[in-house]
Amino acid sequence: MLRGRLDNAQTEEFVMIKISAVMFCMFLFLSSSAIGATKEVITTGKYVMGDLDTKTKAKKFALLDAKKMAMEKAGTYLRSFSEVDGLHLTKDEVLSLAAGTMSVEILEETWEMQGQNPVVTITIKAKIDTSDLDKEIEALIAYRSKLKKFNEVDKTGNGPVDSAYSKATIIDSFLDNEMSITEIKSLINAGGLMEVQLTGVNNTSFYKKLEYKIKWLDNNGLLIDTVMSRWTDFPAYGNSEFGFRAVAPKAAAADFRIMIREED
Amino acid sequence: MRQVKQASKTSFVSFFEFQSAYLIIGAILLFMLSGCATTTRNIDMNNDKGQAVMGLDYRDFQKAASEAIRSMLQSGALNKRGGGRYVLAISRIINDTMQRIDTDQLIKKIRVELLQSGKVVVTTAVSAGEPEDKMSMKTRQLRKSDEFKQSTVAKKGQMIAPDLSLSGKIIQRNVRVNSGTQQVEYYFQLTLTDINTGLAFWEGETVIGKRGSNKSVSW
Repeated sequence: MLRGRLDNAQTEEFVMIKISAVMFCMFLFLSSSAIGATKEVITTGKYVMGDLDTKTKAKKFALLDAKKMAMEKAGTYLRSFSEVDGLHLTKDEVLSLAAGTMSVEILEETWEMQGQNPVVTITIKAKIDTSDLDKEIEALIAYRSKLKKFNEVDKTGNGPVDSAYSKATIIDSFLDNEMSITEIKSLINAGGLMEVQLTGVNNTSFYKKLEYKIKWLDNNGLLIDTVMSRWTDFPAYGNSEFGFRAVAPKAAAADFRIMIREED
Repeated sequence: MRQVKQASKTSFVSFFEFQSAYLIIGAILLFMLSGCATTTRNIDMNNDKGQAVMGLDYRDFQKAASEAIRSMLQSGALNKRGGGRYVLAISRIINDTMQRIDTDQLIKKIRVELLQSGKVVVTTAVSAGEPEDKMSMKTRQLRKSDEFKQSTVAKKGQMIAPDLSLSGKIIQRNVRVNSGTQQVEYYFQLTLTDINTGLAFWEGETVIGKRGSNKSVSW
């Protein structure tokens, strides 16, 4: 009888523990989904230095590699985020935005020789915060509606707007996801010289110092030699528009090509 | 006999020990010397990623010159009413830095670009000091010489007086940041004056700032 009571008490205690455990798990699940904000991944990126590479550049590429892998790892999570939000963003767009909101902590950096070439390996802990991503998505939508307006102006011929990307190139591939060129305007000023204005958006939340170089071409597409074709720095503040304006060195300039890169 | 053999063997070994020690020291010395040598390379002027220096280098002059030209061309100050070119004289460019600078490092670039822009022609016959090229005046003294065919000698009233004058100043200011760091600021100030009215048609300033060790000197 006594044994039977003890057995019942033990069973009740076991059931209570089980319920508590389930409630604790539910609490953990609910609290994590309520915060629902951060995805943390650890990845390693690698870069083999070539003869012309600098150490800074090699580190940058290794870090980029690690970031890309982090984004791939977090990809499923981000895709589901974009679907839930119902904003019809592509995977690449979400990943590109996430790159901007990603906070990265470098855990380890090692340098070793691989044959003749030095190799840098960087291990990072990347945190992607979706609350920041919300703001980025809002900014992207605002920017898209603005771009649409510009394109409409272009089609109606109301403004001398050149299609972006056709004359400007971001030569640092790692900037492709971070910077977008939104508009290039050109006109002939009162003095008969061509003037160019480029506008873009820094999709990241970090300040970047960029450089541009303009090659001026004459009517025959021949290059005009000038001291003004030099790498000139300009600021790109986080989550903001950037831009610069340049003037051709002589009236013979009829076309141009712009190159943009990040300053070392 | 055995002792003699032993002695000769010992001296033979010590001779080789001495030789190898000598060779090792030589190799270390060579290695150290080769480590100290800095190889000379040509600078890639189109993509120079070399370390910045506290003094002024060619990159700073290029930056100051191209910014001044861009600003001048954009301002419209060089657009002559009715078309044509302005005649520009180079006035005094004061070097108020602690460095020995030939101000032509800055001015020549501006002159070349302005000339190529088709907006300006520079006169070398008039200047704030002595004319840049004395030959324009010197050759006029040939008018009295029987040795020269007078029809080839420059005629009177042919020189063109300048419309504009370019003057300026390069200023240096050193600021102590802390015990180990200093800040050097360079100001490139230029003014384009209309000689007829004495009014400044255009003014520009480019500031270049450098922050570095107190140990590096900027003169």
